[in-house]
Amino acid sequence: MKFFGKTTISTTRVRLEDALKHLLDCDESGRGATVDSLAGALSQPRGEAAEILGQLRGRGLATATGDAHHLTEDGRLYALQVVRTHRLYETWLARETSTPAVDWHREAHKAEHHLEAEAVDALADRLNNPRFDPHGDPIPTREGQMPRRALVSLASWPDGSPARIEHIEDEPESLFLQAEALGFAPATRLDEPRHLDDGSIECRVEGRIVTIPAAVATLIHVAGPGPEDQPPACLARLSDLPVGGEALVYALAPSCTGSERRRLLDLGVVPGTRIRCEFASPFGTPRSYDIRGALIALRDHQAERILIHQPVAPTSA
Amino acid sequence: MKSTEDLLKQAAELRWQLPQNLHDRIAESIHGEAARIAGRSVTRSGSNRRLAWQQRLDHFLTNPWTAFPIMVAVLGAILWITIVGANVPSKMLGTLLVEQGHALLTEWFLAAGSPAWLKGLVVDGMYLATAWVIAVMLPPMAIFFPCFTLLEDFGFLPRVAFNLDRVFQKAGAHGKQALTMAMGLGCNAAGVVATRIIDSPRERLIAIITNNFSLCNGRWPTQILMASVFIGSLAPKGWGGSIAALSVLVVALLGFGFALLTSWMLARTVLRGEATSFSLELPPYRPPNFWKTLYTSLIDRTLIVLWRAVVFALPAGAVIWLCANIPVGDVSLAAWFVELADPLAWTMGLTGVILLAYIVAIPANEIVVPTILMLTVLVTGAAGGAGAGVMFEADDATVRAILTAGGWTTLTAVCLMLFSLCHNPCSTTLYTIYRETRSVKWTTVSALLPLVMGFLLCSIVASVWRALT
Repeated sequence: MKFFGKTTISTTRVRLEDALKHLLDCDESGRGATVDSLAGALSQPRGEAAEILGQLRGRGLATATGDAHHLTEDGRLYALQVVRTHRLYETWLARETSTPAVDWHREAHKAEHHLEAEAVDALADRLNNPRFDPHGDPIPTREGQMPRRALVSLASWPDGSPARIEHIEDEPESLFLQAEALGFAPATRLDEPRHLDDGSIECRVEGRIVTIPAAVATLIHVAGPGPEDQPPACLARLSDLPVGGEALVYALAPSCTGSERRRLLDLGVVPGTRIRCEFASPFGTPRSYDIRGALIALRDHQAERILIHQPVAPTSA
Repeated sequence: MKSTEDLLKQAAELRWQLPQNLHDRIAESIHGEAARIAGRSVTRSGSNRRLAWQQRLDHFLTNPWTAFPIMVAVLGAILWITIVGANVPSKMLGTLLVEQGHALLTEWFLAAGSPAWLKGLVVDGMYLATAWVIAVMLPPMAIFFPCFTLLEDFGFLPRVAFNLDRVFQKAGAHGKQALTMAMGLGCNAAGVVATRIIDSPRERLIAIITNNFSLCNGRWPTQILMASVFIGSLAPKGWGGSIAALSVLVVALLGFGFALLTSWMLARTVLRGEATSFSLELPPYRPPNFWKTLYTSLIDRTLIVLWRAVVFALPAGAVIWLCANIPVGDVSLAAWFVELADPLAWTMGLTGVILLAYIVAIPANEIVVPTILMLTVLVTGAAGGAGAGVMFEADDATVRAILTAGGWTTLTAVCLMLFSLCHNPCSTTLYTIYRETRSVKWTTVSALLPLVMGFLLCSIVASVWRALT
């Protein structure tokens, strides 16, 4: 799907593609894009926005009914391709590089205008055609399909019923950082959510009681957990295991992804493995664990992502 | 009966309804199933638990009270063995290569009737520089690297990385950087190669760029000489040696601090990134295979590093000799440059001679002191030299006399010690950095970053010193 047969990137292309994404957003949410809404989204003067819309119409990517602009079928496919590039690139950054999560969006925003369709498909193949990006957004398929989802904000989720994180919005940055610091990722399970008086939400996450500030809760979208999610009643984290304690692994947390996850699986940290915490370093972290007869040192923020059944009594040698 | 198309369409829709982390969960259960099958069908003999003495040793080596004294003591012991143990073979090599070899070659060249410039360039320049590098460098490396490898094989070094990881984590680096820095105390080029043990490219690059702050073997002689000639003499009688040793230790620790500081700065700016998966295996303690270790560390580390140093020392020797012998107007190129560099050097508390010595000694830090002595004699005309372009060494008293005649003070010595710690890596190390990173950009950063820091550090120390005295 090549619409402009050139590899050098002009600012025109960047603006057109950003405008297409805005129109796609508007179409998805059922309102029409206007000169004003586009000028706001691109932070450009009205005249500039009007000219861009004119160009989109000229290329047959958008049509206008009155003030409201909508994408044509060609325009929709093009916009989905840009979105696909952006989300695939974010997935690649998350899985195969050590780029911090706050930078994913910015980096992907640059890359989305540079990658050609073939390169994007090659990237998708390499990543095994992922369905969702690291924030939980669906990635359009190469045929241009993307499901519409009704997302429920955690802030309006009923108290008491378990929830599963479906999506975490990455803007504004400061709030996203807070959500990340809580160790949340798509597929993380939240149990017994309860609204507190100040609007924040308290819930049990992977064996810990966590309080989510009200502002952060609005970034998090949830759904009911599937029938396959039935964690044991006594879940804890490996980092909570005292020195000398032993426990069986339940699973790796959903926030443990990419090379970190592969490395742990390779070391034999799989469901059912018995792990014993042997000793801590002089500063408390890292700690060393006896995993299948090998002594492995893990930092605390890694051990936090290994979920265990509540410690069992140490076996005598 | 549905058509294929309908089925595919239905599959495409159902695909979106699966849990988001389905792949991760399938991979996890495959691993788990493999472990279960292995557990059912593989029988193990003996206990799975670690031996009691290993547990006690681990406790001893990682305990907050004992861990750090032991680490410092072991490092100190290795350095002591290296410095003291290398003395004798270094002297023997020096006598053989520098004194006798040089005299013999001079004789041959004169007998063959070669012109003076050819003999000067080849024998006084290229041969002497190379001989010096071998004599100073080979014995310490042949002692340091095997000791290091023995500790590694025994299982001590992984515990050091384990103990220090928290400090490096705070700086945004990897705990294994502690090992590459310790290796850098032997030779920075070897330290840079050793960073291969760090998986993450980002943290590895940090370790490569900061390795230069580990005071390498080639720089210890400069530190020790300055400390004993200038700083030790300030101390009351009988304490000179200890004060000198202490000041060298302070410089080495300062290097450790700079390495952490630089790592921290890099990890906050250009090399931002997540702390990647850290998993360090702490292998069981086992008696090292002494002879095999000796052989492999000699071949893998010592000889390779030595060969590269020799390759760089040959042209350096030629440059040194040419500097001292090519005239510019009525003075030599060296004297002309020294005069030119003096104002800049003064700002840094150094002399033009030192700056010139560091430029020509980029290939190998070992020849800094001999070059400084040769150049000082050349520029001041003080007695005791061995001729224009001929490097030499002398005992402490003569060194002091020559350098004082060259306008040196305690400040000069202090600033030289700091500059020796904080300047561009030698060309062997730079070449190794390029080979490991394949990046001109990062090689340039590795060269300029410590140089700029050294310039600032020396200038600050010099101006504070001058304001106070």
